[in-house]
Amino acid sequence: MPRADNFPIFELDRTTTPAPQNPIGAKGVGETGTIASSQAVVNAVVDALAPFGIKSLDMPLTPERVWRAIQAARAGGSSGQ
Amino acid sequence: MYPSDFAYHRPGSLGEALSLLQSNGDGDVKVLAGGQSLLPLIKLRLAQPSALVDMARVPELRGIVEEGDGIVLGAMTTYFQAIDSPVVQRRCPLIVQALRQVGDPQVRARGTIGGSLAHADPAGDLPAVAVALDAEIRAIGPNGQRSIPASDFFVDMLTTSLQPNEVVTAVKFAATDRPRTGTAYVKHRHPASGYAVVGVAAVVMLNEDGTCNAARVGITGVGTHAARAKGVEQALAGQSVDANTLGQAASHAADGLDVTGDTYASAEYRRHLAQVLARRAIVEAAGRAR
Repeated sequence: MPRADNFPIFELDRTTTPAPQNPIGAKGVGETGTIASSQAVVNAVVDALAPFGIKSLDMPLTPERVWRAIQAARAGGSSGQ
Repeated sequence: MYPSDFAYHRPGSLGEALSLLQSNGDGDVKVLAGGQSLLPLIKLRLAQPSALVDMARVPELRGIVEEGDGIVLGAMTTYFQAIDSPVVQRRCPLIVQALRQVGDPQVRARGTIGGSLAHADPAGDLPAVAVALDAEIRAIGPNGQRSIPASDFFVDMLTTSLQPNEVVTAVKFAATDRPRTGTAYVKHRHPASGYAVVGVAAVVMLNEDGTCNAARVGITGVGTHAARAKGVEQALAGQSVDANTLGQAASHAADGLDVTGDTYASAEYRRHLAQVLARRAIVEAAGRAR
């Protein structure tokens, strides 16, 4: 289990490239790690379903949604998603 | 989450409990066992009883004893007491396997055998076990005692054949510690509540040549109440337990059931789960019978 004293030494600096999409130039960074994790899980499931020709699934990946995608792929060759 | 007002009684004997149930005849009196289903209903004001009769200190409703070809659990036996009982472990391991999968440790510490069956939740685990183990529910009321077979006990969603002034005193389960007999309970657990989206309890008895002599299969979560899956049982009887028989038998898992869907699982998916879980339960039970 990594603890605080295992944290590497790093330098702090600031970005000087404001985001052009909003008036104050702010960028959201607070939950970057959290945001990526669910896509990673979805990608893993889609990868596991590759033999069925399924290329994408929408969250949440409930058991029924995965089951339906497999059923649809078996029936028509298309995932329907 | 605040209940409406109710009177609270905690009798010290079964006789006192029964007279309290009679004397409160005008209002809506509820029997309180472990409270794991009733108290949430009262807090949500889905139930607004005028009085509660708490069975916590009624000694006649406690105890686990062997009786003939089965075991008898007092109605106020908690899930944990049943799981922890050497008698239940030896004679009815199906009860232990199923109750280990109920809710969470808090629910298992408070919830009771009698309370679960009397509440008759359509997604409860124990009702499937009760029908698979040919349970006999013993009740007492103003007209005396009677025994109700589990197959006649569950009549509809949250509805049993108990009269309003009757109390479950004990439940007898058929023991399965016999030669070439195996049991299993498998469920698809709801990720939030822990209830069975679908649960299947199976008892499989094999012949000496390995073919199936007879099977009893109880299913919960699929219809309005727990029920025997007779179609599955009939397809197994006398057959060798091979892939072909299993597929054929499991296809009958939801036969005759009024399958209802909800936001988590549609009726169609529930029917599919019933077939998959019936197959798994039978395979596991047959493996233990060998």
